[in-house]
Amino acid sequence: MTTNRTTGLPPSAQEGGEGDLSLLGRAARTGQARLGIALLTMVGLVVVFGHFFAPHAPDAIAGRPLEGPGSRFPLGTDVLGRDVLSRLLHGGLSLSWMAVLAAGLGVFLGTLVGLTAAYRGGAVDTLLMRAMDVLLSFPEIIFVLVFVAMLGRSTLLTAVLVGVAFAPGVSRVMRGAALPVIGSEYVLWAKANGLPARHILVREVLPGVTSPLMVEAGMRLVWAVAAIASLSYLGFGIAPPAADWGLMVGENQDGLAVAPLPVLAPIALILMMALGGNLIAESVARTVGRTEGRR
Amino acid sequence: MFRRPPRSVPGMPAGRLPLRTLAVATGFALTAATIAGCAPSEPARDGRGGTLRIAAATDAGETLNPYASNQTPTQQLRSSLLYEGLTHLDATGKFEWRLATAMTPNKDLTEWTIKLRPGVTFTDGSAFTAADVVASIKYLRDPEHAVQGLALIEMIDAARVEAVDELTVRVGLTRPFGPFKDIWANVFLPMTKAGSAPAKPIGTGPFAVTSFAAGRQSKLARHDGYWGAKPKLKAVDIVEYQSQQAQANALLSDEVDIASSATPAIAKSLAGKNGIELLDSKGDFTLRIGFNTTVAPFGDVRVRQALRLLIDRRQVVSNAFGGYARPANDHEAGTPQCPAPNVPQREQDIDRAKRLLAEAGQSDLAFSVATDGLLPGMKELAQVFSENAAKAGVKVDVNVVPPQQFLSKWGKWPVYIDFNTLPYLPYVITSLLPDRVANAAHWKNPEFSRLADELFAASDEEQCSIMNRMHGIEYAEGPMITPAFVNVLLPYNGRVRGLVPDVSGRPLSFLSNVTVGR
Repeated sequence: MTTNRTTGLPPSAQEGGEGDLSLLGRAARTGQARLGIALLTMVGLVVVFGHFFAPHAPDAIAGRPLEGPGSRFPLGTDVLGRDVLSRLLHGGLSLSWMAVLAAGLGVFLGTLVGLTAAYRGGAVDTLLMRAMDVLLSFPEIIFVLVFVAMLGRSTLLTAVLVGVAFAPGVSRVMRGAALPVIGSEYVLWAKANGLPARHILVREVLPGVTSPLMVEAGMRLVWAVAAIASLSYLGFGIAPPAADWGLMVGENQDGLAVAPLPVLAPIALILMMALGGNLIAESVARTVGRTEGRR
Repeated sequence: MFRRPPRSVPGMPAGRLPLRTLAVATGFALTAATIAGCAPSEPARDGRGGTLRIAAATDAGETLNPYASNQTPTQQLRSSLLYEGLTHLDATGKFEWRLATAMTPNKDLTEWTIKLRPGVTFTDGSAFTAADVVASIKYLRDPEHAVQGLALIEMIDAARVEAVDELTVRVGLTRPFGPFKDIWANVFLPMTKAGSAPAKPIGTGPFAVTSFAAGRQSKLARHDGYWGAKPKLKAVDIVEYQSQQAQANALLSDEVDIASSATPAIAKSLAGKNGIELLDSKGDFTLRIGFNTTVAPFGDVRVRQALRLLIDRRQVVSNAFGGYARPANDHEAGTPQCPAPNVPQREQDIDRAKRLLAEAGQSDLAFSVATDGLLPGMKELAQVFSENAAKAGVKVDVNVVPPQQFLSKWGKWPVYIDFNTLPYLPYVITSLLPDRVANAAHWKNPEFSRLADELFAASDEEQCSIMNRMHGIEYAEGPMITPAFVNVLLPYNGRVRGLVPDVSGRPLSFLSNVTVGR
């Protein structure tokens, strides 16, 4: 690892903030990214404005259980006789903020650990990365379940735990991305001039790793949606009787054969959200690969 | 993986038969297989009755010990096929003698003489005698073993349990107790061979264990020396599944013949598919919302009554239980012999509830209901209650916790969901009297306890009126919302014949006429 650092790579002025804005712009021009943006926008509109159009309160028992779609209930009722459409329109908000918080926290912690490990090297590097390896050996869901079982259930706790569970993966990627940057001459110059480590990491190293950082953030957002929806489905995320897409799938699966809509509708929205995020992240990654991978 | 009876005719080596005979034989075998369910009750020589494969809920911690402390429905199901008690309730809830044939008290009801059934053998072939009953009662009565039915027999003086002769046992009590024969009629107090429990318990039941893997599967075979109506089934396999949905899928894909538990939604979605039918046991089985009276504000009877006025019982029946239930009235059922108590059906009354809450100074009450969701309808009941309570500004969260966690804090939850399958008398003894383990509401009502003592010393004729007065106290001051009597739903393959619904909600303990056609 130290050899990388000494050989170093030429600093590139274009890797600053402006270069990446244009990178986003370039990525957004691909068809794949446009589809992703369209999907995310649709889901985003449902999440943010949907509840204004809901005909019923999300937890109001308005009809018989598992009624089919009709004029009163456009998507039918769920196992308890609640309006599926109203629950759908209310059900994305918690999932969205939890996913954003989890992804943000995961990327922040992961970047912090990854950059520190890459910059300090030696024992600190070994210690941090082995600690991350230990965390990485737990599947995310199991990791969250252990703590939820010990501490009880809360939405904030679940979001934070998912974020923490993401940190090891992010830290490995960020460490790998930061190593060549840290070996480059301008960072060595900053070090030689005795600038503080925090300053070097934030001002000199971080701008050099924004591309992988963005890809990572996008991917983690998608995974956070999947993880939190899964946890709610398993009954460890958002508590009933709240309306939530993951929870709806779990609650209504018993009636799947009679009334598929209460299960399929939230799945479709979760899928759109995850697919949209995935397409965007993927196209950014591809654009990065095409333009900067040549170095 | 699963045992199936052969389709060929026994004793006919198919390969040596002429083609025509073979065709006839095969045709006969197939017909025999399809009509086996309709066949009259003849002893099934070679699996004519077949093997019944039952899907049950996974219980990784289970043992064969029928005296274990906290038994899941899966363990109770198996125990009911392997072991028997002294008395029994039939599928209509009527009292029947089992291993005992008579119980007679002395004058002041403090000593009972039990006459045992002659000619009963254990599944290992040995004879069932008074010594086995004495050993079983002493084991059950020992507080160290913490058996689930201990509360039922606490009045027995263990030192005064003795065998009079081969088939007579005398049992001394510490206080007068009248309904002695009734307390034995449940799965918690079975008789086993002296010295065999808890490691290798041997029972007198219609089936014996042939293989057992905790949390996975147990195989039972017919006990040919059984004293009573011999089952037609050759064997019973109990296969364990993680969820009711998994049980339903196993039934659909013909891995099992019957699912031992199903939610109303599952029952509806299975109806008519692949020849699946539904065994709907209507009875006095209740799911309730309990309030811990030692936790404020639930010690205040006004708060409890207000919460009882908030729940919409019709909605509980139609939406939480899919219509497979009937409204209850905040007291348990009596016995089939007694008329219902004279109290009006409680209906939802939001305004009165609000007034009561205001009087108690609890207008902005908020709490959470804990449930492990073990039985169908538990989570749904909590959610319907939550929705109903919101109409009076009471905020109710639903806290679904894993079963182990739920049991580990048993008696500490402020509000919880539990269930009752027992008839009234044992239910009072185990759950409504002070300081009983099952009394997680910690309810203490001196008048109720006094009536219970009266009931224990009463003759059969006096019991109804005492029970009705007890129901009245439950209705007016009790610690729980009892919104509905819930049906127990068992989807099964139409090939299975002879199943009977059971008012106690345990139809799988009545398998003597059951056959499985292939």
